[in-house]
Amino acid sequence: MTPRAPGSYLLTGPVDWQELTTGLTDLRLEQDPGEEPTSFRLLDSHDQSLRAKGAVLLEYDDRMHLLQAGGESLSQPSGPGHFPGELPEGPVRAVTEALFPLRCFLTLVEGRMCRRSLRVVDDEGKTQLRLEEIGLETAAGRLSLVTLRPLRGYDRAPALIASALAAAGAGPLSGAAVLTTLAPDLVPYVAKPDIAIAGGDSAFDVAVRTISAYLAVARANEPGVIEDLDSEFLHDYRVALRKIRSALSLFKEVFGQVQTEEMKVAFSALMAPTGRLRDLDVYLMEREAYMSRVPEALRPGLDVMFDAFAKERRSAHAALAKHLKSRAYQGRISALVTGFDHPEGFVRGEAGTEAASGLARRLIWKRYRKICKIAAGIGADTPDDEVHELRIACKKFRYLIEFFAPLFPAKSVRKLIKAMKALQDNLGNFNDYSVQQAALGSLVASGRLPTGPRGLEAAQSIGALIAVLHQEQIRERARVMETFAAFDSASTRALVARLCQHREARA
Amino acid sequence: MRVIACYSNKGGVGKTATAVNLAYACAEAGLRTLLCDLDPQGASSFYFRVKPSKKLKDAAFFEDVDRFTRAIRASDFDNLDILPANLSFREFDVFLSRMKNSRSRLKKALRAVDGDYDVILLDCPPNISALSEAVFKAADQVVVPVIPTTLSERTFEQLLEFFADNGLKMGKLSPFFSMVQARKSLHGETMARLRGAHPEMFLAAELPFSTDVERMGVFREPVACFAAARPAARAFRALFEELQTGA
Repeated sequence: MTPRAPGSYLLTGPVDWQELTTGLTDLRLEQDPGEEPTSFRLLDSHDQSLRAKGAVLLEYDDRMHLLQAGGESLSQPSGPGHFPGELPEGPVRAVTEALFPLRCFLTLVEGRMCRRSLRVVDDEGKTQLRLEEIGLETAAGRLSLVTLRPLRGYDRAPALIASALAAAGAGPLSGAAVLTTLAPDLVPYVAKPDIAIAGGDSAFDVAVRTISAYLAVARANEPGVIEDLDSEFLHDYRVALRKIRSALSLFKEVFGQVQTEEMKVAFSALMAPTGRLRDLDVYLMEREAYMSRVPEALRPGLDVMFDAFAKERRSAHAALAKHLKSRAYQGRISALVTGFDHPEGFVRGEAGTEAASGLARRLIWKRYRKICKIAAGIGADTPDDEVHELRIACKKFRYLIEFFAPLFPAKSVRKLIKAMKALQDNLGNFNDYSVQQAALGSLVASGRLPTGPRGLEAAQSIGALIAVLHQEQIRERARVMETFAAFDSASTRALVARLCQHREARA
Repeated sequence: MRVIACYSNKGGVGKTATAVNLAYACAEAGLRTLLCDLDPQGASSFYFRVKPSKKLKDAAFFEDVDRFTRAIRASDFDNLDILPANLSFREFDVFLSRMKNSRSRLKKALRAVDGDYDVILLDCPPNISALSEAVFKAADQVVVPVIPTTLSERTFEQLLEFFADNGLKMGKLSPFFSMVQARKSLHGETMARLRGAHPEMFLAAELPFSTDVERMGVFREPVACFAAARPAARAFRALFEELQTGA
């Protein structure tokens, strides 16, 4: 016996209420005078998670208003912070923190808005429907959002208004539609662009298209890194460059040998200055997790370490921001973008003219065989280096599958990636624990910690942490044979063979 | 869920005004409230501008829980719904017994938009002697407006006798003095006598005789909406608060 879900309707331009209410017959519309216009900001994360969900987050009058696609809207006070987790407790915080805990709010659009309450009443003055009109206006355009709030037992007025709104061209509330009108020039940011690959495309074309797309992703993150808005700008920047570098090694026969080498050097040089800042970001984000691993008495020692990290992070960020703004960097990355915009200038390799699909199948099968070969040699006593080799082989295999995913049935790709997940997590953890131990060890040796009793306290705590990480690494190491055996099933083998159209599949 | 009946075995004592203003006070205090207009004259629906439902006069009405709950109308105020029931007498006891039976479909269907009602207020029809017992059994509290006159005193004593004769819980009765005129010595004397004869039974709140209550018919709103600061509105608020603390 609940009323129909209150609906929100989006109209381009102002609302013509006279036109909308002509069919009301015995009912009439009453309007409040409307409030003074106020300014609003439309907020979202950089990757526009809210827009992707169809939602719109507006901040006005010191409150956050989250208008959701279903029509329900949430509202709560704003806060001084920039992250969802820094908002006061409330429903908007709950939704946004679950959606993008690591990302800050960005103002995508600013403008003026006016609000007005309206009612549809009957001949005795009884309210049969409440309405709210919000007009949003920017330099680029104007739109109106009409929300119906039906009252229990009164179905006719909402039905009449809803159909009049539909006839006037109103659509459902959608984050995309709002942004298209208010900020038509805003380019949506996509961290993982879809690279279209047709069966007949040459491997060269696919490589160029992929690298070009990820270069654009990297560039889109530069301002956020420079302004240090949140950690994910740098993360996405690095993921994009890593994608390009792995493309270069996967497609090594596609460009000429010298050409490939040159590109690899160029992209490694872009990546190099970012590593330390990312490491520090990760340490600082994992602060709680590290703390929980050592006894309480040793935690103040880790605080000393994290304070040192935080201090180092400030200078690491300043250095990277300076680097990214430098003429040298801007020149280098612009030259790369120009190069991939005019790929006819590149030297093609032996496989350059080969069809992408053929190359993909050949490479995937080869890589799969390599994984199996390395894994077969791994026992309980095998040196760690070979485990690392297996990890890298798995990672490259995964990259290959993801690159060429558009060529294969989506279900098979998903199944294969899922089959790899436990193995990759296991190998990834094994590596992380090993890298962390080394990094912590070198921190103690580096002299970057304070001297005196505080430094000693820190060193003790770090020693304890290294011991715990070592134990965890041993545990992960012990599981490698088991997780590989789970991956190395007959069905996975048949799946890979089928994807690669290998003769094993035809037999 | 608490069921409060506004009842009087005498007409013209301010029963409907009490039901309307109590319902408004409940809703304003944040309680999800359903006001059932069981009076065939539909006066409390009128005060909320809710039109009486013709469909609900149907004899088979209570067999059809869905139709019953569809008849519930939101008032213009948050938390306050109206059931313009217009019941005929012979269905009234069925209605009441089902409302209290937690397994009945009626009890299950009788829900606000966001959960169970906190308070169900019954604006009872007058002169329902044959069915009074059903009201008294169903209600957790029976609010009885009493004008402090000799005639009203007699009617009230009859109600007490009815409770005694039928073994009903006296504790449910919450009488209060209505349409009190401080200038009349008769009113003062009658109130003193009744409070003396029935210690702790009468509520402390007294509703003064007020043109504001009469003007509800003009404004078609609870008193608190157009004369919040005046004595009648204050008295209804005090009445609500007393019923809340006494519950």
